[in-house]
Amino acid sequence: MSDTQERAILLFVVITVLLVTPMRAFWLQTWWAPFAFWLLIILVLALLRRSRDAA
Amino acid sequence: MPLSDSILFVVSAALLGIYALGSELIERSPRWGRLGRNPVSYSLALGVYATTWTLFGSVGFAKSNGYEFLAIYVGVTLSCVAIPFLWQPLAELVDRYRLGSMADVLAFRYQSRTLGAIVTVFMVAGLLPYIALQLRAVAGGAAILVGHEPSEELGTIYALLLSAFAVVLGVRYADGRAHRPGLVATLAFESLFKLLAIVIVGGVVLFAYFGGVRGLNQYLVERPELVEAMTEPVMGDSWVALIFVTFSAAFLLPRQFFVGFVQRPGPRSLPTARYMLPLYLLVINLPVPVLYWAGRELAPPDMRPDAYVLAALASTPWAQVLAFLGAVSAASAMILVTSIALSGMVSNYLVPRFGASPESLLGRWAVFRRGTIIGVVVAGLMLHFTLPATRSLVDLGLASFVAVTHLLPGLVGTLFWRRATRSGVLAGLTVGALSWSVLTATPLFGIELDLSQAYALFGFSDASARGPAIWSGFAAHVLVFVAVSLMTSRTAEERNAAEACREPRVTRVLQVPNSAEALEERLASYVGREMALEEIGEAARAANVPWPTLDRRDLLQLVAELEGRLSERIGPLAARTYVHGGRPVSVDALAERLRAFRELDAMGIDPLQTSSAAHVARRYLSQLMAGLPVGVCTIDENEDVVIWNSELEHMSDLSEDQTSGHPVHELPNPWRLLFEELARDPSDAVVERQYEVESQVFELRAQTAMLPGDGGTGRVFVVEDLSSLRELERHVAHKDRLSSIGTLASGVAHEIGNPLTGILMVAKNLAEDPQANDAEERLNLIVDEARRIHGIVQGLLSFSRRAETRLALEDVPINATVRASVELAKLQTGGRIDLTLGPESITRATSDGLTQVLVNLLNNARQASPEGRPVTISTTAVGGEVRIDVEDHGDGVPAELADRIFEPFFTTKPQGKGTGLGLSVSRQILRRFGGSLSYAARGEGGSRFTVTLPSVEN
Repeated sequence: MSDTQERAILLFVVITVLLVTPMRAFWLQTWWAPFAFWLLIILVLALLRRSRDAA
Repeated sequence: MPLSDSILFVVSAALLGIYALGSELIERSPRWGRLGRNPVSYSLALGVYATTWTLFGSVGFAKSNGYEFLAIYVGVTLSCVAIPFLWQPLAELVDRYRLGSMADVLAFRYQSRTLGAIVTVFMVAGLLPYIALQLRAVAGGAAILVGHEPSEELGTIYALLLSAFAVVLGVRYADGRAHRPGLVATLAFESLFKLLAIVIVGGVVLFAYFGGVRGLNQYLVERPELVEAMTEPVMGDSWVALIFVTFSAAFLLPRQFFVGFVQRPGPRSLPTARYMLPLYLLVINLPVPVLYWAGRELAPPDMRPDAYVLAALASTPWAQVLAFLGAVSAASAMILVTSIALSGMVSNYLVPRFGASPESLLGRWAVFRRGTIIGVVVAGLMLHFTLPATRSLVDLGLASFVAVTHLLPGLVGTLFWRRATRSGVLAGLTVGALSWSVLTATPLFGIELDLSQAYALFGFSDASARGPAIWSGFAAHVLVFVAVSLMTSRTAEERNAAEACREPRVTRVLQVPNSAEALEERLASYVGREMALEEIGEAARAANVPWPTLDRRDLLQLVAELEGRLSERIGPLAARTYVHGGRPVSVDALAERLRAFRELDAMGIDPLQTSSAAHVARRYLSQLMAGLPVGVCTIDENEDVVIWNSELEHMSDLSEDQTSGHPVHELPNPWRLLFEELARDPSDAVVERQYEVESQVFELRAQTAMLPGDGGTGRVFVVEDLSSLRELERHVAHKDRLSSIGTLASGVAHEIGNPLTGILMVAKNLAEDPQANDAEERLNLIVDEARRIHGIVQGLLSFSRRAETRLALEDVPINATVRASVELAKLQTGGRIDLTLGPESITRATSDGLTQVLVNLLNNARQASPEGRPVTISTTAVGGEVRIDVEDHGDGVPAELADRIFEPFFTTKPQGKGTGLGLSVSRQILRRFGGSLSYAARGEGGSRFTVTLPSVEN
């Protein structure tokens, strides 16, 4: 998978989960869930950076 | 017990003083300066996004809109996800052309100072509410801490404190130079301070009021309606609109642009900020709900929610002061950077327009810029006093955010849509500014239109939500922008600028004045001789070139440095005009670049290593690489990729960013295999290789050469993609085969015609006289000719199977075959044929094939000979060969056509009398027997065709 494809998929997933109304309910289950989901996005970004550096 | 006014003020001033001193120390010390140049500091400095809105306003926002307050930061996170698509190309553009603001970007792309001025006015108007927000938050916080209501005096005191800080540091950094480590480091410390402040006060509340995380959980379990109130608003109309607005604000707000692009220390900064900035915003927001829940329990009923943070800390005054200092810190940084950014825009686009004389422009520029900083802060202060006190921090902040979203269409036109026109962006921006004024700005002053019915038409159920106003204004802007762009055309300058923006590597043309005197004269005509000499002198010192100079290389360096310095100070359009005489950007002036490059090259300047002058060479080299029709890759002595040109990007689907700087052995196949093989081979031989990678076939031709350098020997690889060439070859071969089949089919039809004519004539004679004495002989002739046709059809079938046709060769007696052919020819064409036979010889052939050839030659000879003149055919055995000569007494073949008579379709006969295939098919047949067919002119006129065949022993 090329970098461009990887970025596009990530962007698509993040946009979908953040913006599509039914998907929003998924990360609003508890008071801390929005933060956990947000952290998950950041971890993915950090891992992408790390794997890119390693490459 | 309330704090003393003076103590709070002194503590606040001390904090700002520490920032100012630290900034100066870092700016002066190379050792400390590194703090301002690393990616972590840069990421933290981008935290200037978090202001008093974050520290105080988010709690108020959480009270009214629950977790919708997170949209303000989640939008930034989404923007960070898109850094490679949006921020990165914009950063490259800003670096390349030394642009200082979005006004510069749009003015450059659309070649319009008017556009720059409109953007400037719009941004100043849009950002003033934001500055007012900072002052209001700080003044309000101070009033709570000192125990009385917010007053004009208190607001003025803190506004003056923040203004003084902004002016002192702003003037220090408003000299037009980019990359100020002192500023970046100061902003990073400021970000750290406010982060620590809110985390600490959040921790204090969590443990002091809730008894820790477990206590907080218990509190919420007992009050499920609180959690529901937090989550429910996120499902409403405004969430997506807020995400969109903050997505744009993350990099288009003047302060974000200034820190994110103008102060970007290096290429590694953005990848780091991509995850560090969202992480920073996450951590700074974690305490917000905790502070809100505690505040709603502890705050007096009439307290504004924006002040809940301080109310929640009522029992711990030191934490209150810490929270307040966090707000002072955030507000000061925001006002500082915003005023610097806005002052640059105002100085570049408004000051020259409003009366500054050219001679004094540069001299007054610094004064104007510093004055603008003060003006911006004072205007924000006035707005703070003017705006109704009921407006929340979020209302004021969002008004600014919505304003900057209107820069997005123009930016999209800059980066992605070359068709966008100046008229389109001007019209769109005008509509955007009007919609912002009506839908967003005037409601801040209590003037609101009832648009609920209009919104309902577009499906918005809640007209009071923020979404409908945001979307309708933006949609109107985009609609007008696109429509007008499609209806208007771009000027030549716009087209050139659009190309330059779209492809940063194809950069602007450097049209260098012919001499030092010409440069001086040109600049002096705009800014006066004294100022011109001063600017040129400073640029010369910075570029380390003597002045005045007549050296072309030094002149190039000087021009590059001068344009860069002026671009940072007075905007790219004005700088180009001053240095290059106002000539439009022209990407066609290749000759000038070529000359400049050659001169640099001849002087031994390394185009990839030098700084100022190397821009010229690098631009030319980049364009050269981009224009080559073959792939070019160079590697250095460490086998790291240095150049990966655009043709190679096209072949490999790998961008230069993905390959440059990476070692060859990390490239994906087939490139790794190819380059490693070439690197091992010291010769410069051309290699052709075919690779199959993930079902894709690569057919490549490549060559390498050594690339000596100072640090060792690198290599250059030149690669051609043969895949398309091979495909073309296969296509031509297919067409050729079809053509051959067609040729043969025509030939076969031609040859079948001869025996068929014979059969018809003999059969016709026999029908008229069935009892003729030679009836049996005639019937045998018919059978023989029918067999001949059969043989031809078999030959066609063999050819069509494309197999190596293995003919069933047999021993064929030459003389007998010649006699039979003569009989057939006589039947077809009549006339006299003289026959001279030598000794009988045997050849390996097919009787049908040989007869076909001889009949064809005899018919041709008969047709060429005048009436009454004989055709002769003779056989001769010579050594291991037998020769058959067919001669006529015609006019012969013109000498100039003799070489062409064996070509398919070539004929000298009148149209309709021959297909031009007889001789070519005959030669083809004889070759298959191991023989040949040749032509020679007879000495006494006429032609001689000679069949030569190998003879075999009896």
